[in-house]
Amino acid sequence: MVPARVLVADDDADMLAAVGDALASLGFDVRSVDSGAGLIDCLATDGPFDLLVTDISMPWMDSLKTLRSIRTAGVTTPVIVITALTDAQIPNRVQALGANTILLRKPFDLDELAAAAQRMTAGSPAGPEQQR
Amino acid sequence: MAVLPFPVSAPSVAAPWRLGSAAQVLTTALILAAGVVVRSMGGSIERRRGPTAGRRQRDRGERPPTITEVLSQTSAGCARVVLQTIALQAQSLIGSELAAAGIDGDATHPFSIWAHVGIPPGQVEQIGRAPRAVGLLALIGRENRTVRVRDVRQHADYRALPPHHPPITSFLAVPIRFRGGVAGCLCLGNKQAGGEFTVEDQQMAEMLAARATGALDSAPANEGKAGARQWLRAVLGQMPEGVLVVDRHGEVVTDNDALRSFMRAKTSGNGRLDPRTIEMSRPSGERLPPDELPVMRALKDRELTVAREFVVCGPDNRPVPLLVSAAPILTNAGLCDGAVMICQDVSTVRSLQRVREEWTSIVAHELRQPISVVTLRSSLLLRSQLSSEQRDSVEQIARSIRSLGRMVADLMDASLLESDRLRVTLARLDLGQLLTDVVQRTPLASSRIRMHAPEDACLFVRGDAQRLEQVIANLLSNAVKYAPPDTDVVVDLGVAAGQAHIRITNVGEPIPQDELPFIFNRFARTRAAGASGVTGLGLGLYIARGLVSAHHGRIWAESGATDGTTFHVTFPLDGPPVPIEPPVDRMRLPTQGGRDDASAAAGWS
Repeated sequence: MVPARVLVADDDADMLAAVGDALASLGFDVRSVDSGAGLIDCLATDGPFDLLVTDISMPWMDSLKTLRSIRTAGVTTPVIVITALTDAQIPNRVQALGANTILLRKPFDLDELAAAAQRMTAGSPAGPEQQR
Repeated sequence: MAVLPFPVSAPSVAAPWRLGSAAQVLTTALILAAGVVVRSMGGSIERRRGPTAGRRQRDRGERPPTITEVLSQTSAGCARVVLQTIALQAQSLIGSELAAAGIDGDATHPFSIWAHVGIPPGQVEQIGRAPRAVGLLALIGRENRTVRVRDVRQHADYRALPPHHPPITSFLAVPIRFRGGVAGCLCLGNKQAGGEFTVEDQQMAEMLAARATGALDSAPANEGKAGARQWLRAVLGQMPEGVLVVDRHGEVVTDNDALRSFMRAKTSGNGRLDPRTIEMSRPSGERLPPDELPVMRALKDRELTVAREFVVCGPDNRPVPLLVSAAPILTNAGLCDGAVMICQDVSTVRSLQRVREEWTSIVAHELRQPISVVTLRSSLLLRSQLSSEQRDSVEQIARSIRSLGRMVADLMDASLLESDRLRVTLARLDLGQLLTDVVQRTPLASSRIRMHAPEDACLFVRGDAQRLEQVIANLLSNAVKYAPPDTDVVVDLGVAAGQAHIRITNVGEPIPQDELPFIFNRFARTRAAGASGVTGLGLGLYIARGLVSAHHGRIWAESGATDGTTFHVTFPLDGPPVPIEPPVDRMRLPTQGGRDDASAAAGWS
């Protein structure tokens, strides 16, 4: 069976690599980009994906703006938004992106990431659990 | 009626409050009029003295007037305004629950003029007694020195407070001096947020007391009512905080230059400020109607405002954040004679606060990033093939990074609490279920926790599940940490006084009584915790208190050698307990017989 495809976006190279490796260890087929523009580009050229995992804080355009554009364009891929920010408005802004979007606050461990990924891909025809 | 947050019981050595024969040069000069410099030098205060009315009189060979003579020539109302202003300033600037200032009098009635803030009018009437120079009050008069203690009840000179008087823990009192002796005192009780008064608070109180001294010293000798008014204007005019005084009809008696410097308002025909033209708003932007200004609320409803933030329109039309306090001016008979409002421009403070909040947020954000990477990498490593030694090392890294993550989260929460930005999202939740879940998740300790909860009803509260879990988990981990290894921690949930009431008890070493009032302070560490090497920032209980308060609840602790240490937390119930139909579909930890008899007898559940 084809593994579920996940696109990870983070401008911090170490975090990008760590999240990518963690998701790969859970059985996902991982693509990584380091910006919001890269995320849109990859979605257009290398999609579709079963899951997006993106940090909020990225240069030029934060991922919440990027995701709003993506949602406006009709892309309904589930999203895990990760952040170390503590702004009280963030949960509301994430919620506004739709039911298939959740917030995961840093720092998180592998179990928390696995639980979030499993929850968001539960309806996917090729979730990570099927790979084991 | 004048009241005093002081002992008034058994008579003791009377304080030499009257200073009629004192020929000593004024110990404290005209702080405001002559530009006194107050400088901290290792806890002492140096004052540069200027010429005083008393000294000028003495130089002319005249006997300087006594404090009683000075006051007899000064309108008592004006003197009361000065004392009320200074008490209000002390309460607002130092941050105390209670503040009072009194002057004049004799050995049996030390305070002919007494002004106080912080005790509701009804309670004042219930106390119904004027202060006397006994106990600590006598000590201040006798020894002419400041008293600053973290728990006044432990002081050798402490006498019991009169019935109905609010309890006092932390306490600070400084003499108001006149011609070298003691003419009265400025006292503060209960530092806000349960803390103790600091050396800086003491310096501030001494400076404020010196303002009173300066005011007395500059009081007119024989100039009648008009002179008294002029004196009042001069005294208030030189205060750095904005001051507005209204009479019993709401007409402005006087204001000062500081007030006009940061507030745009029109003046009436007689040159006095028209309070109806003050444009004051709440921080939310909601404009206050003229009769809702704090000074008017103080006058109409005797409402006390303590250091609340408002925004006024400045002379250049820019918003100016102010910390405003207001209080009614009461005569000795308890009649409202007017009101005073004090405004402190906090533009600079707010600006610094914003910078600090941004800094904290940036630091927390930047620290979380590497913590996330190490957390993920260590959990990935633990899933790989490792030797026993490698596994130990990686687990140690994982534990340490979890600990660091918790500390960063605590620092961030403390910062949010301090700046009043911590938000909770309230929803109806089953407190018993939440407690059970948290106990189950308490690492390595759930087997040592015995839980008693109502088995026939669910207690619902409105709470933020994540934040309540944080509170309970903190109390449980503390209880387990400080309990002897072979003992249990007992968790009780019940209803008391119409509130959901959680009690978490261990039988470890009791917390010393002198430390108990301070364990909820920021960075508080008990001596035992410090000596035992238990690590931590001392923020857990501070955050717990802030979170409980955000849920409109209360948290406190009791500790003794016999009963161990119990932390109590109460929350308002969201409706009456909801009966559970048997069988109870709720996981219960080993309860060893369920609710114990003592709890049942005490009316729990």
